[in-house]
Amino acid sequence: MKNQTRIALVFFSLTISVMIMLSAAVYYFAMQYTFADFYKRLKTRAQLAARIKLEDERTSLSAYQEMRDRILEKLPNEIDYFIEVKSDFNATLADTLGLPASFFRNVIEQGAAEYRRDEIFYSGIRHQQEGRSYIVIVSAESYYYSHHVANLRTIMTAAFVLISLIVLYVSFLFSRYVFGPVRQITRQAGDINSDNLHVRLDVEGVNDDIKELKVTFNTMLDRLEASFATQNNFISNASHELATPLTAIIGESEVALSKERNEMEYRDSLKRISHQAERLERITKSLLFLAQTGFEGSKQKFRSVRVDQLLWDVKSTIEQMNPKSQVMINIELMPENPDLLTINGSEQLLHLALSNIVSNGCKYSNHQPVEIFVGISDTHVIVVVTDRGIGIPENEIRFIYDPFFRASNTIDFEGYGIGLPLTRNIVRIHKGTISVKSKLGYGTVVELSFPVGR
Amino acid sequence: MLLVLYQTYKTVRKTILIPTDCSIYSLQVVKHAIDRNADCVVDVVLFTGVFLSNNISNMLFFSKEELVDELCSEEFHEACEIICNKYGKRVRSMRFEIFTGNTQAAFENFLLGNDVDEMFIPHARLVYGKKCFDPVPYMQDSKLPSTVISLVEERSPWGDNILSELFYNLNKAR
Repeated sequence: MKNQTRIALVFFSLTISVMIMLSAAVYYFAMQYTFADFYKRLKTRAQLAARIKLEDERTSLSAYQEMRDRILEKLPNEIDYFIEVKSDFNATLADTLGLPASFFRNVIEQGAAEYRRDEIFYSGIRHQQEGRSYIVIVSAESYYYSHHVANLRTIMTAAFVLISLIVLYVSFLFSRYVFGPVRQITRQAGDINSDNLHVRLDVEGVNDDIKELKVTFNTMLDRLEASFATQNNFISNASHELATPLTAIIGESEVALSKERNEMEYRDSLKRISHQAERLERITKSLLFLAQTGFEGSKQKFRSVRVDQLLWDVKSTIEQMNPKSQVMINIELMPENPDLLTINGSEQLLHLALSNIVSNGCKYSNHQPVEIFVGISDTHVIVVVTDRGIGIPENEIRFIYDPFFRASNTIDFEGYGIGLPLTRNIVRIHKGTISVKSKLGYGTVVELSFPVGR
Repeated sequence: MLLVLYQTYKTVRKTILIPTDCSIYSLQVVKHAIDRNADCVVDVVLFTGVFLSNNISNMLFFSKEELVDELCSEEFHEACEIICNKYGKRVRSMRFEIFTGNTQAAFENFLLGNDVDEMFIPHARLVYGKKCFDPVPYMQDSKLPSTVISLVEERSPWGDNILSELFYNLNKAR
């Protein structure tokens, strides 16, 4: 059985059982009240009847008679019985009336008793008169019992059936409503396959468990997508990342070998080459790491990273990679207190992400200045990278995180379309956000925000 | 004696009043205002003029926090935090006030109430929302010292009220 149906049935049976209990209680107490009320009426009549029958005084007799006739309405099948109690109790009389002996015993011992046989109600009292004792019994059919209670029963049954139907309908609506978001997730998730792993579930709306589920699902997809992309495109990825230090090493050695140099110069160049080689090793390691583990958050070694230090490193790396690059770090809004500038993360990955963005800025603006701004809000470290490049066409901006997507105006520039997706994944595993705004011909601004690591 | 104490306390602390249209663009003034008071600790009071509703139920359930939330975006608050954090202890506080009066006397009272020492007036076209009005005329008519700071007219090409706007004109305003 589907969970949805089960929830609906549970809801239905709960409501119905509450309804049954309620109706039973209402019915029971209504009956009790009807009985008590009717017995009281019979008792009044019995007392009056005793007075009428057994009273000697003329005047009060007629007053009683009048009271009974005028004020008390005649009940259906109302019959009065008078039995004189003698020392030996006449059991046959009891039999003729069809009443149990216990009824008479109660009347004699307690002064009053009540009995019901189907719709006929009996109320008996003991009456003392001139040293003699009588039992006065009034019996009548209860109109309330025979009609009103029956009516109540009909109404309740009808209401019960009707409400059951409504509740059944509502419970199915209710379970549909409850499971709506789940069905939506199922539908959306069903559309995601290995060809469109970049698609994510919509996570707008209230902050509830379902949203949490969606976010969790999306992060899972992020990891999946990242490992898919890195594994599928490892070669292009690697060449993209490895080409630059290699070019630097080759260039450096060619320059060094181009003519005879003194030992100092060779030392310098070897130092630079070894520096680049170290970087190469770092990148290779991080790429291998990326490809082997995917983006398993728990396996990353997160440490405190100083953002300003990171930015200066990125700047020097970019300028080493291409001396024509102009990277300016604007510290106007950088806090005076350096403690605020730390975030938790993997320095290698963050370096990779930031240098990707900055080098894109340099590349697509033909090495016009790229400015990096840093600001710290109470909860986030915000890094803004602006360039004066060619911009991204407005209708293509939503595709920029797709692996291998390249905007239509980038034909003149070399690239693989790997940098930004990689960057976004790195930002995501640091629980940060990235937003790219661009205007064609004016430039692009990339806003990165990471939670502060205090 | 007390007066002397108060004066020495005032020389190190200053409350500055800055009008804003709740846009990040207008926050440029804040930075310049703080920079010009490099020798003291400042309390920054950002404010805007607001037409209050005359509706009885709106008056009953008036809440300044809700109104401020409605007027200012999250990015605006974040931008304010960024500016605060830059100066660390030099910005003692930054708060947002609303001025609801429509007379000069009311404005003087507002200044008194907020203990304002200096005002900074942006020389730029600020765009006030439907509920708000430009309080600058009152500031110009006030006796309190005020400084005019001209903002760059050029808005960020990437759209309004995104954080990068705060950084865009950073070095250009005078």
